[in-house]
Amino acid sequence: MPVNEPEPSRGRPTVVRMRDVAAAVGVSVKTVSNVVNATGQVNEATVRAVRAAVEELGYRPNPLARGLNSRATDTVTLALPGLGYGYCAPLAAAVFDLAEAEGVSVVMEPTGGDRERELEVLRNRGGLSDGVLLMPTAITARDLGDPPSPGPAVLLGSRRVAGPFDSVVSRDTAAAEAAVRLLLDRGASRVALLGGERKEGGDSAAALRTEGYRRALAAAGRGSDPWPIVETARSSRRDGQVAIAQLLGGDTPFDAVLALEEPLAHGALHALRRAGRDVPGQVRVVAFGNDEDAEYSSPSLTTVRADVHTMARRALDLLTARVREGARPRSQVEVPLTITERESTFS
Amino acid sequence: MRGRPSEAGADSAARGSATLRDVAAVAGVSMSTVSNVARGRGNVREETRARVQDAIDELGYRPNLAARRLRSGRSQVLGLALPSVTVPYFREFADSVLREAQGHGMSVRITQTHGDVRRERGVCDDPYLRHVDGILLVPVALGPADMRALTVTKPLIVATASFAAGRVDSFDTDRFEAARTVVAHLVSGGRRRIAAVAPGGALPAESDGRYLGYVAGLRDAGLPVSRRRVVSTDTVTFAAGADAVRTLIGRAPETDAVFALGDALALGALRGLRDAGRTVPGDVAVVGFGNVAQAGYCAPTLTTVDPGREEMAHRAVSLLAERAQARTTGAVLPEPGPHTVGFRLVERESSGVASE
Repeated sequence: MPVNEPEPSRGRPTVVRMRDVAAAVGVSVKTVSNVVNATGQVNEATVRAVRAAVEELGYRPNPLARGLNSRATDTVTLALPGLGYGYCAPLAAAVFDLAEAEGVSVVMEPTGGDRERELEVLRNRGGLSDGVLLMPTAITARDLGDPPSPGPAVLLGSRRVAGPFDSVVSRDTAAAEAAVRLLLDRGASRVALLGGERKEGGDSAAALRTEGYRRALAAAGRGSDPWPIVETARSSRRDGQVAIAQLLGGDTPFDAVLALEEPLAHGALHALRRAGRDVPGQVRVVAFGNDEDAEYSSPSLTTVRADVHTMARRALDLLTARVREGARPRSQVEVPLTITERESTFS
Repeated sequence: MRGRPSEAGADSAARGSATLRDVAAVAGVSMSTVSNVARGRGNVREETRARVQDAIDELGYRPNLAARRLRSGRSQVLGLALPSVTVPYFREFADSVLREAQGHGMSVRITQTHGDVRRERGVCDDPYLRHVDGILLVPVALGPADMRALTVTKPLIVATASFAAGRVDSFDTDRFEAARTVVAHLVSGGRRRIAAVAPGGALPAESDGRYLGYVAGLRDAGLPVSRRRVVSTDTVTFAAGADAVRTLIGRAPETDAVFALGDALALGALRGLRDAGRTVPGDVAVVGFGNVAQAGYCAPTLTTVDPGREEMAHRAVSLLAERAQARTTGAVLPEPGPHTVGFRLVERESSGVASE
């Protein structure tokens, strides 16, 4: 730059602080803090006014602050039905490890899939944690319809619930469709769906996966010769064993099984072995699952596994962002599942 | 005389999240008066109490439970420190603990120690178990000296390990007897060259009662104890079990039975033996420890010891809840000590008849 050029103006923009927002709205700094951090009880009209002022003044929380809320607990609540459901255990493990790597501890609130408990977790977060990661298995969009400045929360899992929260969801329907296509590619012609949902239009993980199975069935031109959908009361190994034993004892032919939860598949393998059916020679088996059990079973089990590490990572990032900057656009992140082929579909 | 609900109160009521302040405003009293009425404490005139209660009901006020927990010390949080939630035995144990805790209205702060002895030793000061009223520890790396040196600053219960220290409650099955029973079972099935796969990393095998029981069982049968037939693993995983079997076949090919001290190891061993062309139980019998759900469904199904895991979870959580409660009420409870849970040998295909 030529020596005699005047220096460019070094005027720094005035930093907007919380007290500026408070003054603009005519409330206390504490109230602004409550809105920005999504804590405490603030009436709806005030929340709107504060958020409008935040946008208008261009207030941005200091990213270097560890937490603007002086009551920051560095804790997140992880609300899952339990550890024995679907991919909950590996998901929880991923959340613990990722959270702890950042000095954040995790409180588990097992909901048991109970609607009241899920709502209570979303409502009752004052004091114990900075935010909630919830797997919504029972609450509906209607429950979330009238949000009273909810605390920071991110929904995660298979089930999509419309509401004022960020969410990280697994792409179960597409995964089920891909699994059926794999079975067909491996020579199957009649795929039994184990743990499916016969009634259409549901939104549970089982319903979403059943939908994928139906799409694959239709695409394969089997709409008029429907394959067996076997419902089970629960997803235990015993349920799988009993269901497949019954199917074998009846006159419904099948040469492949897509199990919607891994324990069902282990039960199915056991029943097939007892009935002298060779896997994969006579019956091919695929299961939704993440467990190591699948790698070490005999035969080892082809699985459709959820990318729980990515789900945990994205959910925690969204939650952190939500805790830091209360007002931001909502995000929905979709995470695919991947198929790992093993002996049960390929010899 | 009732005040009209303020706008704030009305909004709060509509949201179902009225504050102490709202109730005080409606009832025309101070916040501390509301607090006393809500908690059934303090000297409050009957007329005032009724007025406050009306306001509480009208506004649907529910005291902030968490704040109350922290203030009164009657927090309902249990800390669970265990190696991992993905190893089947620990996952099933954790699931039982969560269900039991839920039954007591407690939430659970879980941390995975990954078998790190420093984390197990320092569990009472663990930064990830802040603000808990009691800790349930499932240790895999603590040796006898560590156990004696453990700092105990809050109610601590140890599960699946035996503590002679006496400053903590511990729940365990009689590991020594259980292992001895396993060996006796294998011997009665005709096995003579019985190997052991023992987890424990740096710890000598002798620090595990099960290993001592295995040795005693061999001696009972007049059989030699061969160190060639003892394989140590660092972790309790399927892969470790499969690797251990590979090692075993390499250095002790005459082995006709494997006692794996952990079902994940046993399940891995089943796979390892299959891959090495050995039939189970024909060539080699296998017995595990833990009775995880998969044991009844693998191929062949796995003989194992059920160490009373569900009973342990039930009793440990109940006792922890009691001890945590006693801290605030000052109730006197029996001194901490070891508690025994019964075991049973679950016989399945893997320790069945040998061929020839």
